[in-house]
Amino acid sequence: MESIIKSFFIGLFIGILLQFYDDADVLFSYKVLTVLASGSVGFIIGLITEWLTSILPIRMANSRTYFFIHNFIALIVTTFILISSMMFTSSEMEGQVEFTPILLIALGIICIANLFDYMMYRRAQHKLKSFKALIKDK
Amino acid sequence: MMVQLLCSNKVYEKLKQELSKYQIEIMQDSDLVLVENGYDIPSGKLIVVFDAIDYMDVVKLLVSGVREHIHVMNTLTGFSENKFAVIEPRDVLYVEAGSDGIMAYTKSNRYSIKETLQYYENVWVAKGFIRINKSQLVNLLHVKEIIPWFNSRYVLRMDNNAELEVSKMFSKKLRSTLKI
Repeated sequence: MESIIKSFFIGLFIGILLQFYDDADVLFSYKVLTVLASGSVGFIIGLITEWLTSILPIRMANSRTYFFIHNFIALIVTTFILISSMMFTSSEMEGQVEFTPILLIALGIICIANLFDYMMYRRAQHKLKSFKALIKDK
Repeated sequence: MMVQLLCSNKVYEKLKQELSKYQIEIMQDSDLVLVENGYDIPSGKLIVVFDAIDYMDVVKLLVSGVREHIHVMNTLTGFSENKFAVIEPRDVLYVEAGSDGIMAYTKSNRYSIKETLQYYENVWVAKGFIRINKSQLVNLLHVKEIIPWFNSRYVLRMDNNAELEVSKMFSKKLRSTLKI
């Protein structure tokens, strides 16, 4: 559930960022709806990712596999959802050209979020080392 | 050791049962008082305030203090290959409750030991032992790597390359112990 909520907030963040990227003169309520829609997409991505990863057996657990699978699923699912929404909303070539930077921004943010996850992993190893030192000192 | 309890009847009974396992007596005029949150704190005494839900943490706190000087705290007797051996807790990688009873695993051997997982969890908390699932207690000193896994789980890679799963239920405990 934690990662689903995290995905929702990443979605919101992407939505907010895209408001700055796209300076179109539209109503504020429309912008809010866009941000919420982006959050919902994030929520769906989180839900799918959570479901897919719950199937994985824990015996294949190692840090490299974890980060690879985590990033891979998030990127694939995000790309799929964004391309699907693009196909439903606009079939014109011009729309697709405009859509590419949006997709790149979204994927970039996901990569950064995963990089943060990796930093948390490094921090956990460091905390373990500190804890061991503390116990040994006792 | 003696303690005074100021808590609800339900918690009182649970604490009484747990404390009796470690020969900790309940006395009305003891200098050490365990006070459940919401009850009046008496003055001029040493107080431990706790939430009802955390009553086991109070037991652990007392037990780790009481047992600090006791021999059993620093050694345990294990049975393996028709021989008894004296093992030091620091040599134990993990303790497991299985069909053969309670087993203590060292780098080179496994020993059948007495008592319960709950007992060792309480007595060895200060030595870096932590419960990671319903049937395993791990010595964090022998953890080589903490591997994150999906659904809020972890896998602990031990010094002997054994991999132990930290269940969702106990991962919070691991995080709070290591302040992750």
